[in-house]
Amino acid sequence: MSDNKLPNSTPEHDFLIPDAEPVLERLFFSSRALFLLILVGLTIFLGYNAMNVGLDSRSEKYIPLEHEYIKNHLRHANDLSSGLNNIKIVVENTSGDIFNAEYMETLRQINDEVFFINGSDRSKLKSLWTPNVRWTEVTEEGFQGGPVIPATYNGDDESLEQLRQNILKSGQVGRLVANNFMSTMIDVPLYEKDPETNQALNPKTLADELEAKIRDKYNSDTIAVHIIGFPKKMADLIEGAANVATFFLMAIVITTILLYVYSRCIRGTIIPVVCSVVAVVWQLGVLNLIGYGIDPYSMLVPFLVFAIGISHGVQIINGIAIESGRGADKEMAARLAFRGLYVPGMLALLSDAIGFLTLLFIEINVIQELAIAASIGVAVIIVTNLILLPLLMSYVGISQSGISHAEKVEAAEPKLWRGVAKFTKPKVAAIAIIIAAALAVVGVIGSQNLKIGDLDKGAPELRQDSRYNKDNAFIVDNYSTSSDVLVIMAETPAEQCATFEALDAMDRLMWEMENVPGVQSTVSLVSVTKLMGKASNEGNPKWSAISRNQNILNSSVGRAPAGMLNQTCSMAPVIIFLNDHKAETLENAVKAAENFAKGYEDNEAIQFKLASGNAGVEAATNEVIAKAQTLMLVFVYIVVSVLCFITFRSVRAVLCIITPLALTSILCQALMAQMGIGVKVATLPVIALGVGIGVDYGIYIYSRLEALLIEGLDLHDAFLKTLKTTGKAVSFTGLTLAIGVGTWIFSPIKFQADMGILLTFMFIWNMVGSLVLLPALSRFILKPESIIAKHKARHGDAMPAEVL
Amino acid sequence: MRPLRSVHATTKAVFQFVKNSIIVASIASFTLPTMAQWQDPLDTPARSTLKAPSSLLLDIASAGERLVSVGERGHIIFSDDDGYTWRQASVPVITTLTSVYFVSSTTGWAVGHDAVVLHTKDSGETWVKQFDGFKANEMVLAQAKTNKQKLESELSKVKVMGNSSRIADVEERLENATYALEDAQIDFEDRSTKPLLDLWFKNEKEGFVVGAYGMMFKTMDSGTTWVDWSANVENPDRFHINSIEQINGDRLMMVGEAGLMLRTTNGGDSWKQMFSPYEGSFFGVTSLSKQGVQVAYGLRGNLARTDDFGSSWRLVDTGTEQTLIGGTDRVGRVLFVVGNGGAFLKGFDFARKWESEIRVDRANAAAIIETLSGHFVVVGDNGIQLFNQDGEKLSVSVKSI
Repeated sequence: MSDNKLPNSTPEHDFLIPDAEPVLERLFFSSRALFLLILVGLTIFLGYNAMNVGLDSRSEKYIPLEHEYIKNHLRHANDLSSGLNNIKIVVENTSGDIFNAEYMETLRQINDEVFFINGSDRSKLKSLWTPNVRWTEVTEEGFQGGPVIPATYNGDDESLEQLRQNILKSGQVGRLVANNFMSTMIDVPLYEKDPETNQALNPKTLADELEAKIRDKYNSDTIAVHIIGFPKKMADLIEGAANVATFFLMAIVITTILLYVYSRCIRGTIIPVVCSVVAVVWQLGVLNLIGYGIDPYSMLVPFLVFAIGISHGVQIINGIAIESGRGADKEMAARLAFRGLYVPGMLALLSDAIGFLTLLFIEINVIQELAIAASIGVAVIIVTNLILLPLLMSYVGISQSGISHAEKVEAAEPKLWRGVAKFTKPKVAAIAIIIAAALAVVGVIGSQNLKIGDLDKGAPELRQDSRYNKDNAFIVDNYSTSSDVLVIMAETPAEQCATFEALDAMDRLMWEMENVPGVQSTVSLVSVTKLMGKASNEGNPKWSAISRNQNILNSSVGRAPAGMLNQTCSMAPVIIFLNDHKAETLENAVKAAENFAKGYEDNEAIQFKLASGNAGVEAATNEVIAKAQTLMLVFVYIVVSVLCFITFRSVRAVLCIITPLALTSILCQALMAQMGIGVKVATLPVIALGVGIGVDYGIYIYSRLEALLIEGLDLHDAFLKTLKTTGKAVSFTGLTLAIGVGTWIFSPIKFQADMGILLTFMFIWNMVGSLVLLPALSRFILKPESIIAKHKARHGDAMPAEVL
Repeated sequence: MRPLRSVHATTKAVFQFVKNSIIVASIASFTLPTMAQWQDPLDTPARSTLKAPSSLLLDIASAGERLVSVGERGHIIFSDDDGYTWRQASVPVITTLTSVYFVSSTTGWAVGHDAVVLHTKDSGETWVKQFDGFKANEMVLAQAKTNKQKLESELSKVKVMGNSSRIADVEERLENATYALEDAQIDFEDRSTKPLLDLWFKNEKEGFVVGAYGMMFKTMDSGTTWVDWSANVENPDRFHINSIEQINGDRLMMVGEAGLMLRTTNGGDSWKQMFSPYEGSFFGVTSLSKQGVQVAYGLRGNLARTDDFGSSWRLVDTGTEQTLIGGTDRVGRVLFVVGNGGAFLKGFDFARKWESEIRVDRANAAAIIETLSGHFVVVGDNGIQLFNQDGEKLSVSVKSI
């Protein structure tokens, strides 16, 4: 086929150099078979790699490593017991208190089972039945003590009463024994590594073992088992993440059906789906090649890649169908579609990719990896759906039913489109703009309460009504130790962590913190010192104070449990238990601690460093996110605007495309505030993704609208015509994207559901915005005459390829 | 030239701005108060907090119709409605306060760790520091030196007399005095302090404070000056004195560590040991004044009773093994004693028969007082708690304003 048979048209806009696109088109289409072969080869290679992509659950990925809190935390990481490798099993008597023989027997059996669970550190295992849980008492002769369950225990009333007395003397009420005496806890510290295999413990195996051997076996009408702990949470997350595969299949099936309804062509349905799946395979393959894994956050990316792939595929199939309807043969139709859609497609995908890359501003690995994964995904779509897809279509072609369906649609003027086209009429446009402005105001007001961080209690990764969070709530309600812990590290010169001055300063910090709303209680070396002061004075509460006698202090430090100070006595953690990890709670606590620490900034005896504990890490994360949030939004808008401007060379065009996006962003923030979804690791990327992908609609619509205006149609007719082709594709795209991520709303993992809700909302609103607000704005902003003049100056009489 | 000039002007403006900013910043950094360094707890005023009524409180007393309670971190709170609502007093220290006593509705003292003595003349709303552990150390050291010197000269005298049993006695006392001097020397040099644990004032001028390691000081001028009174107390092992109580007139009692029981009949000028029925510690002594009965109570539920001003003490079965810390302070026919682990004891029949209960919160209590309206205020680990006569917690919330 020679070039002069091609219709005389060139793309209205270009990226590289004006002649690059025709060159590319010639290149790909002149050696179709070769390129297809290369692409198939690549797919096999990357597919092999994709199979090896692993689940990456390194916890440091979720932490802002550059934040000062985290640096402080890491400096002392070896001295702070992370509390992460620990399972808590609570055995509840649902029909009475724990002081009955039957309950105690069940507890003993569970205790024995736990003892043999692989990975449990048996020497540190703690429950009423372990000998390390003791009572102590001050007598005339000094301290006396023994195991809480005495050797003489036989389950009769007398020994149960003895048990009650011992528990009271053991100080375990609120710790191992519930405050209401209706349940007790088995504290199971775990080895970091399986002692037999020396492999890192697999949380899933452990959790499965606990479920089977403990929960399933002992749950009954009278016994309820509650299990929490970091490994258990991780296991639940992994299990929840497994559902994602189901969601992915669901998304493919629904999209395929919709695509068929849309195109009425089996070939035109299968090919985009196949190409989009190829895009996913490529993306995963590349991830594996560059040494990345997939985590619960970046699991979103394959969905996005698939959906974005479909949406661009649809545009091309749509173009091919129309061209075929006009009589072009398979190859020519594919070529023309490629020519017409290459530039807006490229622009859209590039703005997606660069939009994602703005996430690199957030110094949290998991977000940065998400950004890279998504950018890779979008980049591969350029190859799979803008090149591979038309190449494939140039062989298989679109079916007759598809062509006639496309023609029918183009000929018909559905009421919907005629209605939508009315938005180009001045009056309707004005009303639309006023409504949009009103919505923006509502959005701004509604988003006043937008919070940074996690707003729910318990494990924020999981849903509130998940088993884990119910178990967690039970323990929070019935025991005195909270699972939300802020740790402030008191640093002193070596061997000086227990001077009177250091301890007194720590004591003041503790009191300062206890006066902060949201703080439950505090513990530190000071608590031990005060307790020891009292204990060594026969339990007289009047002695609970820090002594000024260094010998007394040293001896109480000698009795301090592990984790209350480091080896060299140069650091002692002040542990602050919080009610929850809501953003406000964290903010209050951290602010108070910062203020206090400032007062000791230059002190030689003691300084206070924030922060460790899950709340410390979360506070740091929130801070990083709060700082990055605005920066990222500004950048993503600048990038998208600049790309639009470079392509369309018109500020007016940029305004028409960007304004609907901005409205969506504002409304999205309001939605987040209203739904109680905070700006966090999971939702911050969504804002960038929403803008990056949302701009596609505007780009496609505008580029077609502009071409038709150049052809000489007035705004209304041009827009109506745009709607019938591109508009249809755009609305379809909005739908597929929304479905792709919408399945996430059902994820048992809370943050995935949050991402799903927000992305669905943004995709749909961006679509509506581009169909309604864009034409309305065009009415007042665009100047068709100057567009035509510009066109003439550049291309003369040649019609833009986008007209199709 | 114009654009050039404007560029120049801009540069100049920017430069000026930067310069100004630097000046402003440097002034700000110079005028910022230098970072507060650690202040001694004896020089740090108590933090105002609504949490004082729910944190550790160790004693409670009445100042007329007002209740005043003291506790950790320099907390002193007072209530004018029998314990329902509390306000926090202004206190110049953050040391743990252990005991409080009023001689009238307006005038009172509080003591605590670091041997601190605080004084109020406005019914407990504002307090001033009168005495602390550093002054105490000086006085104890001076007294210890005097004691030693006295005993040394006494020893040389008795040696001249050649009475071997008296020599042995004085030698032993001298040995004790030498130890006491060494301890006092160390405390003085290390700035280590000891807590005062109780106090009693005869009137607005004259009173005693007692505490750890046999500390006892007396004032005759409302606390302005103090003298070491320990030499007048028969306590050679320097056991802690935990409690001091007026029985009637000039008759007082003190109890303490390791069964220590002391009494005076001359208003505290000199103290003699009583025969103790128990070798464990007593933490409190409480009197049924009208009936002429006293009880002393302490470690592991031990409670001793006397009705002859301590000439004979007998242990009475209390039915509890919880350590007992504090007893009722108002005149009544029934005695109430509280202690660790939620112990709540009632003594009937002139304190011969005791009933013990464990309060549901099982918290440690340090003191109990009967209010004018007939209920009880208990203070301890959980702060203020209100109970009826049966030891049942009143379902009212204690407010802090």
